[in-house]
Amino acid sequence: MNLRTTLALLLLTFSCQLFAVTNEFEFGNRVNEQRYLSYISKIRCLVCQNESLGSSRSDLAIDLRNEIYRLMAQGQSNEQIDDFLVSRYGDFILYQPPVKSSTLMLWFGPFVLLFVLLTLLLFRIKKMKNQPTTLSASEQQQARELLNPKEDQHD
Amino acid sequence: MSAELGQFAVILALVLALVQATLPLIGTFNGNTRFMRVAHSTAWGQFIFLSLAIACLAHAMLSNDFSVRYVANTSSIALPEIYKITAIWGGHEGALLLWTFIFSIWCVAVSTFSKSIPLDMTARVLAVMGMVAVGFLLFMLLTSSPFERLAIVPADGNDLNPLLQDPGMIIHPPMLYVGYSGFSVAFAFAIAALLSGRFDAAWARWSRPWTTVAWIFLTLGISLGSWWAYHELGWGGWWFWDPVENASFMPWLAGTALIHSLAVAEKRGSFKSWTILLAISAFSLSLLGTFLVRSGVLTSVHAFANDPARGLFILVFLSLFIGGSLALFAWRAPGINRGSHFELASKETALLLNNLFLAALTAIVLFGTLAPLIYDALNLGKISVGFPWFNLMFVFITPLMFVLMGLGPLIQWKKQTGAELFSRVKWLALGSILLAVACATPLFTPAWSWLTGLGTGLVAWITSTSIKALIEHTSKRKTLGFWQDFSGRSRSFYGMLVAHLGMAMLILGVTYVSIYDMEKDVSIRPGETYSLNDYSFRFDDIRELTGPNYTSYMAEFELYKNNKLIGNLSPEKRVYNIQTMPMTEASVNTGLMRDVYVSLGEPLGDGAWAVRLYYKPMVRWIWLGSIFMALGGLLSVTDRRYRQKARHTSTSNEAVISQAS
Repeated sequence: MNLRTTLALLLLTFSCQLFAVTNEFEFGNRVNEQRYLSYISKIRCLVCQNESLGSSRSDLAIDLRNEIYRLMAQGQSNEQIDDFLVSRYGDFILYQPPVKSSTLMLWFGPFVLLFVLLTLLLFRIKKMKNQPTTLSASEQQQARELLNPKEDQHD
Repeated sequence: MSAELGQFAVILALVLALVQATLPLIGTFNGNTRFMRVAHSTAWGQFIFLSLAIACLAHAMLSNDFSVRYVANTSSIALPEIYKITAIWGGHEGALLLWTFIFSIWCVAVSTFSKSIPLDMTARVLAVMGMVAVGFLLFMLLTSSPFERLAIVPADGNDLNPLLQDPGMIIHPPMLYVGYSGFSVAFAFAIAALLSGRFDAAWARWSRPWTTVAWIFLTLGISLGSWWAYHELGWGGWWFWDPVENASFMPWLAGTALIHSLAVAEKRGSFKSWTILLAISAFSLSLLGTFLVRSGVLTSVHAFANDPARGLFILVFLSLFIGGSLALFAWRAPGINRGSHFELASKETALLLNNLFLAALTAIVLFGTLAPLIYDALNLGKISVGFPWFNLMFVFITPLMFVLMGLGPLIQWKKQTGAELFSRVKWLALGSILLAVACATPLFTPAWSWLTGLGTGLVAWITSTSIKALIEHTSKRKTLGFWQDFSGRSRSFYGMLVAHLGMAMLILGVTYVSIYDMEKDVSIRPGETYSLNDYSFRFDDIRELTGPNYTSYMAEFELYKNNKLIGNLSPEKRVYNIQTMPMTEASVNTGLMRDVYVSLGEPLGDGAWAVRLYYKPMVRWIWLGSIFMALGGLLSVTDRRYRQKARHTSTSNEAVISQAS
């Protein structure tokens, strides 16, 4: 092995880009394996720039993967593991922010926004419908359409 | 010498931009046509000087002039020449130069292909674009010049970030910038309309092809980025809702809304003020994307603190531009007429709803991207808002939009009776629902999955309604014959259908790869075989390679499906000499229905290697869908109505496309 490469590999054990020793786990069945893989993809590697525990190669990620595997083997639920991780590292570690009072805006804001926009839009169209169509501009438009009935049928 | 020349060229371009931003506008106030015509010359002048500046930077790169700080930071002697060219936009300063250069191409294109537009309108549009150019060039000269010299010249450069040494990165940023800066044309037309107070349908018709061309490039640029991430980052992901990705996705969402509302503004004269607002938003989000990605603010708030001058400039520039445009809008919008009347059940409403959904999605992406910063600033705690949140929002909101997408082409303008529409689509709806239910049950798929059902049902719905729209269209135009119809005014209609089908393909790919992909981490020795799904991977051999600026291990795998050899895979693990950054070069066996993907880790001792195996069903459909969307855009923009007008003058929109691409 090329000395330079060896050195580079040795020096960079802490890097996020490097494959460190993979965690080879035995899962009794496919469901457990899926659960584990999906869980670690939703946890943030804290020493990387926006990488999940699943894709990170850092030492911290390996330790945490070992820990998560161990907790799952003990029969802990995802929520219990969440609690454990949050108590150690804070909410920042969860890619899916927990639902609590401070994150209500985050979780329900978008739906409230969509609902408000929809209501406003429907009211506006209703209002427009009730307006008499005597506006000269729209009359002009309509007249133009009557003159060119073939135009604008599609698209 | 070339660096000083480049710097000088940028200064001259700034002077010309200042002239372009002021004189033509003054001309429109006092009716001085000579002043207005100046815009054409300044546009060309900027293009020439910025080409010179790019050439100077390219020269510095290719001649390894490490006395230029930017070259020393992003290049090295051993870097292959193609990546020396790529290094021009491999860092913040150079990317900014590329942006202004591409922007100057858009200015020249507007100046060349707008001969059929009244002079005062062209003058206003180019003046607004001149203002944008002033902002960018000032930012570059004051805070981020790529031509700065170093007092002590290093013997070798720092090398280009290995992540960017990839074919995908050669064209991804330029494509994205063509898209970003292209929305400036729609923005400039909108501001010009606000300034002049003229909001006729002609305005929408003028800005429509420009917007579509910009959108085509942005679509391709984003999907190239996704493809790059997929094969370069080595974990098989194609979208992670990373702030950098979101920054390009927001202008795309707003731009997609803009394309649809411009259709209504042109055809029906409605939604004008909304369209103007969307044009302002699409470009504002492009600005936000360009600035914030490169300055690093989105990934870390501390990026501002690292370089306060940059941060301050960005804040002032953005607030002047966005604030100024919105103020102008608030002042002028009440003067815009409402347009023609339509019923609640009509194509207008369908398109308004499309706009509403796209606008809401844009707001959601913006909110999700900035939420960690907002929470941090308000002392509400440090949170991460990652892909589970975005996925959930999109899974809840987009299906409604996609149902509408199927209906849209079938609804009539102005008034549509519900019963008539229902009778046309009831069988298609029933069929899609039945398929959705069937796919959700373990009848056809390995396990219960309502998401598979939802995705498949939507794909069936969009596809079948598009075919229905096509049949209705051709039966109405039987007498014409397909080719005559296609080369006439219906081409944009076909373009729409192709783009919608592209979206359906993308939904299909996203659904299946998200639900049925498989991955496995293994430790494997030469001669051993591992299986994943129906595929077996035989590890043959591993050898050392020396690249131009890296050393690498390349593994040889044989890929078998049901014991039949179907291909060879050769993933690599590279260590770049200068940045000593290990990179995973994944090897992918591609296929229309699945990708099989291997990425190589590091030696585990004893001849064993860490290897990650992936099975990715239908992942190609994501990029195939994007290509179809772009193709749809291309068809729309070559519609006869745009060519027709141009024929009377000198050139056509096709020329714009061929020049821009």
